[in-house]
Order: sequence, then structure tokens, then C-alpha cells
Amino acid sequence: MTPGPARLLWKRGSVEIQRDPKKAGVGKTALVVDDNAPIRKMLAAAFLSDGFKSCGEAENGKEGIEVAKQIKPDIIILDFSMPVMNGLDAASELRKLFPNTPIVLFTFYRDSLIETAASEAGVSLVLMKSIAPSTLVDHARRLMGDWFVKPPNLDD
Amino acid sequence: MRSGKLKYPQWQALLQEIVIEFDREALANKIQKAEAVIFERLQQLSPEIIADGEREAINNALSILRIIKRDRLGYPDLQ
Repeated sequence: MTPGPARLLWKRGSVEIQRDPKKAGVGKTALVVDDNAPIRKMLAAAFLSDGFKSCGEAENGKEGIEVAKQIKPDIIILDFSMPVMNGLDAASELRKLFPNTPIVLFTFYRDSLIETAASEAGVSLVLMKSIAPSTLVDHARRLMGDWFVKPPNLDD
Repeated sequence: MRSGKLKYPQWQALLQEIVIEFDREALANKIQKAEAVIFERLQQLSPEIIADGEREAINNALSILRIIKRDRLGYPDLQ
């Protein structure tokens, strides 16, 4: 089967996100927890454009835990600084609920205190917000075991 | 200081507005806007380039934003 043309999924300002048919339909779910709506939407779009089935969103740690219980994500992305409950406190709770799910702290703030606290909270990886959303997705895939290196029935 | 004299007006002007904003809702909105602009700016700065001190200036600005979020908006920080 020859992949069809990429389909425009989302557009914001100068950013265009397209779904790659080769990566579509792999059935994984991401959860992005960030109080900054533009950043959250950008990250969610990056996951969807890279073949994720769905991407839940929440704007603080407490809401993130509730959404995670509903959607049971395969990967969780947490901001650190958020109202109500920060990313590290949320990570501690999420780790109890989802012991095998990779958790990424995606933050502007990376110092030894946060690194130590993140490790204690069960965070799998701390990444700076200076990297591109596509790079974050690459890291997420790696944490999940490169589950869509070769999707079935698309290369025939 | 007028924004015309800022070295990195793209995001420093937003930071100036934040420092003098005391309405809670407006402050939260302005912080979100500044963080989104900084997020996009950081991705434009190549890791190999010191970029004329802009990266260090951004880190300082982010530290200020973190303190403002903690002290004026009550965001939970590290225990």
C-alpha cells in the first residue's frame, strides 16, 4: 500500500503539524500536563503528528492524575511549575498508580535539586524546554521501546 | 526603561510588564505569554551558540518568573 499524502492535522501561527500515514494508528496514548495552553497544545500536536492515537491534556498536576486514571496513558509528560499541584508532586502520585509508565519532566528549570527530587518522585527522564517538541517525542518513543519503528501493512 | 533599549525586546518587554502587574489574573496570563515566547525562542537558539549572552539572560528571567509564580500566584514549588 502506498501511503497517501500527509494530512494537515493542526495549524498554529507558523507551525504546521502533519500526520504521517506511515506512523498512524499505532494505538498509543500520551498525556501532557502543562498549565501553559500554547505549549501544551504544541506538545499534544507533536505526539499526534507522530502517530499517537490520542493525547490527553491537563493544566495542573491534580487534573493530570484524574485524566491519567481515565485514559491510562503509555507516556506522561509533566511540566514542573504549575498551579494547584506541581509536576514533581504529581509524578509521585502517578508513579504509584502507574509503576511501569515512563514519566518525563519537561521543564524550564533543571538544577541539582530538581534532578534529585525528580529521581525520588519516580521521574524517568528530565528534559529542558529548550528542545523541540519533536525531540521530546523522540525521547518518549525511546522510553517506550521504539514501538513504531516499522508499522505493519504500510510498506507493501 | 523603555522597550527600545532592551537587548532582547522579544521577551524582555513581557518580563517588564509582569514585574509591574499586580492583578492576579492578568499576571497569570502575562506569565503564560512570556513562557510561550521564551519556549519558542529557546528552540531557535542553537545549543552550540552562546548567542550573545541571551541564553543566560533567559535563565535569569526564568528564575524571576519562578519566584513570581511561587510568591505572587502561590504555585507550589519544591518543598
